Amino acid sequence: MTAKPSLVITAPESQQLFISALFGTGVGIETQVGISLSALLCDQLGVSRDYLDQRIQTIFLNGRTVDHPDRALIEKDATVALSAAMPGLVGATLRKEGLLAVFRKDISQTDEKQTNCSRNDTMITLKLFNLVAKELGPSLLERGVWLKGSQLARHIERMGENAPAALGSVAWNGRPIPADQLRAIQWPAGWVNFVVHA
Amino acid sequence: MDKILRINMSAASGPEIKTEPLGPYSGLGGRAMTSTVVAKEVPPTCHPLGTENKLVIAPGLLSGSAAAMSGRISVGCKSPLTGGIKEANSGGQPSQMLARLGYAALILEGAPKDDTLYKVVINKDGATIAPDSSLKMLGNYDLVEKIKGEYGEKVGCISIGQAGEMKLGAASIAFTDMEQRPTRHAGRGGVGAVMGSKGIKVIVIDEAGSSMRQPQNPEKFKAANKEFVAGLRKHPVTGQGLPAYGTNVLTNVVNEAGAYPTHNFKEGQFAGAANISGETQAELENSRGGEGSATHGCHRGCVIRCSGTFFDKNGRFVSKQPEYETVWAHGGNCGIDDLDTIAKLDRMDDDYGLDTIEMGATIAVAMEAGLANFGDAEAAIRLLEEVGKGTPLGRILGSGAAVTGKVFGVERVPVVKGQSMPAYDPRAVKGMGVTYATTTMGADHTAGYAVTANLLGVGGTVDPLSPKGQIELSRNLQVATAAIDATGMCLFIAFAILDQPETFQSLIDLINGFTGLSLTADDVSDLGKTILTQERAFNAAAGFTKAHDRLPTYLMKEALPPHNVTFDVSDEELDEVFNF
Repeated sequence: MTAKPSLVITAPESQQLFISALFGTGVGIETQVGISLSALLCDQLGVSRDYLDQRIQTIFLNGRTVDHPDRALIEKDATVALSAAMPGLVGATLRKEGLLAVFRKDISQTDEKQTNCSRNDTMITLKLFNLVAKELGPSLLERGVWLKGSQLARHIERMGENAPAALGSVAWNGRPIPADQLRAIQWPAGWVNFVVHA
Repeated sequence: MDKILRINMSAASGPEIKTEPLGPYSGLGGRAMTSTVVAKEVPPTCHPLGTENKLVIAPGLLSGSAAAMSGRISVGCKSPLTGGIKEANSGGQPSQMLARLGYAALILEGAPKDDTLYKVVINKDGATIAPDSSLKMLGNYDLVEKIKGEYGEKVGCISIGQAGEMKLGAASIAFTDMEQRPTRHAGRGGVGAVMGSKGIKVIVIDEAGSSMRQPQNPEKFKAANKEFVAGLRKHPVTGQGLPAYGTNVLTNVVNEAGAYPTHNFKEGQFAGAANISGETQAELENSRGGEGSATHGCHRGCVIRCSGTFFDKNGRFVSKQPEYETVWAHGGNCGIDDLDTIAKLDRMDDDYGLDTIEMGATIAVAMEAGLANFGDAEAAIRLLEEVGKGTPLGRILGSGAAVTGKVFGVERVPVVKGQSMPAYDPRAVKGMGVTYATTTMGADHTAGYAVTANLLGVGGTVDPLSPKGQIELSRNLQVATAAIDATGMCLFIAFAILDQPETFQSLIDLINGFTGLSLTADDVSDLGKTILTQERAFNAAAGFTKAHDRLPTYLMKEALPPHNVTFDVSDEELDEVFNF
């Protein structure tokens, strides 16, 4: 079996990674159809239950607000978005199990349906916003996330011309390359596994 | 604060200044003051730009004290945009300055006989007014520089730009911030046009010689303030999210929800949202201006510091950090996903003295009318320049989205009572739609903004699954907001108050420690109800009926992608909101 493309970098300073921008547009996570959102986050991705309950106050699954992550089930090619508590009336409205949930009942996740599929693999898109991006982003990057080649290319551009000089090491498809060659890589169209070590 | 300053611009021998005791307005502040004065003294059927309208500028009850977050100021009048009662709210320094000089309100009344432009100066010795034609058609930035040159770097300014002088419906009133820049605005409802109709270009405030207002019960006040600040600091929204990212932290989340009005409220998601999100904006600001650039308070005593500073790529100041509403209005609603463009438009709005929400909504309507393509940043800048120059097109645009839509034959104009909707689509978040439709202010996201656990219990229990829950909640929120607007507190305290009962209690204790009263949560609620009742009565007398408490009909027919929802809260339900 051909190994999927991979980029592994060491970045001592996480702010140069523009983590918010990266996770704001979403990264790929391999998982299984039919597992619950809480199982994805806690069992697979290592997010503590406490963090899920207390810190992640706004959750979306395919654009719908989620009030019960234990009951929300992952579908094929799903998009999951996580955020800390948001300000204002709309922030209170979108909050999981919030008092103002009735204000947005038409865009809320309804009673979750069981999928008929067996636990097939799927690639979901995981978006992390604001403080959650800052707090969970680094550990997810340590485990590795998936980006399409074009997405990775755009992100490397966003990091700026001086970014490679601040990196510790770069390995493309398992082989070390000079950091200044990073922007010259011919990115494939498909998925690339992107790993960042602190 | 024991006096009111009245400036009568109609006096036979020229503008006349009078200082009087509070009289029937004793104990009022902020929105309570402005709405009470307008309700009592302004004939509801008067012309908003005529001699009978009054412009009331009032610090909050706690402004000028050491209470954290208490620097907000209210501006009230009959609105030239909505035709109803208006309270517009702003940050900046003038609230604290006026309060420390002892003024509970400034009331501008009458109108000059010609187009002479006046400057008012207020200091510890009183107030003076004099003509100053050198200020004519200056933008707010140049105006403040001139005033700085004349009066020094410690004064505060309340001013109008070209838009206010032209009496345009979208004209705002600017308030200088801690850096003496005209970046904070009482934006909504055309209050700047009313100030322009009074012939007053700027009010200069010199607080030298004044001192902080002292509480009635210093020990109680100090303890409550400490608790209040601790509560704000420990809460993730007020202590972390807002200081780090500002209000624009909402872009990614509202967009994800499919509630982000895009291309003049045609869709609920914008493909370019991540490029203009609060996270992206903070990273850009900090990289250009240094770490910490994305954190800044709009007035001394603010501990949340949701604002920031936007620099261009060469490190030059452009504008204060654009707010969520501004980024949405000039960004996603117009199809623009470039933060530099949005910051430039924000600065232009501040300079000309325009409501960023109204102008963004107006430009989007103009795009729908074919005056420009959605996403054309240069065209958006050119359209806004027309307003500043006062060209015929500019005057149309500067009069707001409703007028622009009428002139160019656009049906899809997102306004209620003539005022543009802010950055949440009411079809996706219907509770917001209930508030937009029913508030006395026209479409307004802040009118139903604050909420407390206690207040939600007042008047009965709420079933979160019931459609009727939205009505009762909206009512309670509007009541609570009106009450908080009276104190001079920033509405962003709301989230900490909702989550932390001890922080809400500390706010009540703060008010009581300062005033010497013994208010309860029910009393705060009663204050809010009183304010709203007055405002409703004014609007009814001005000719408003149930028919005005409605959203535009196209929002009931046109499904909003991606969720394909329409606004389906019934008229009967909307009419229940003010059933108290």
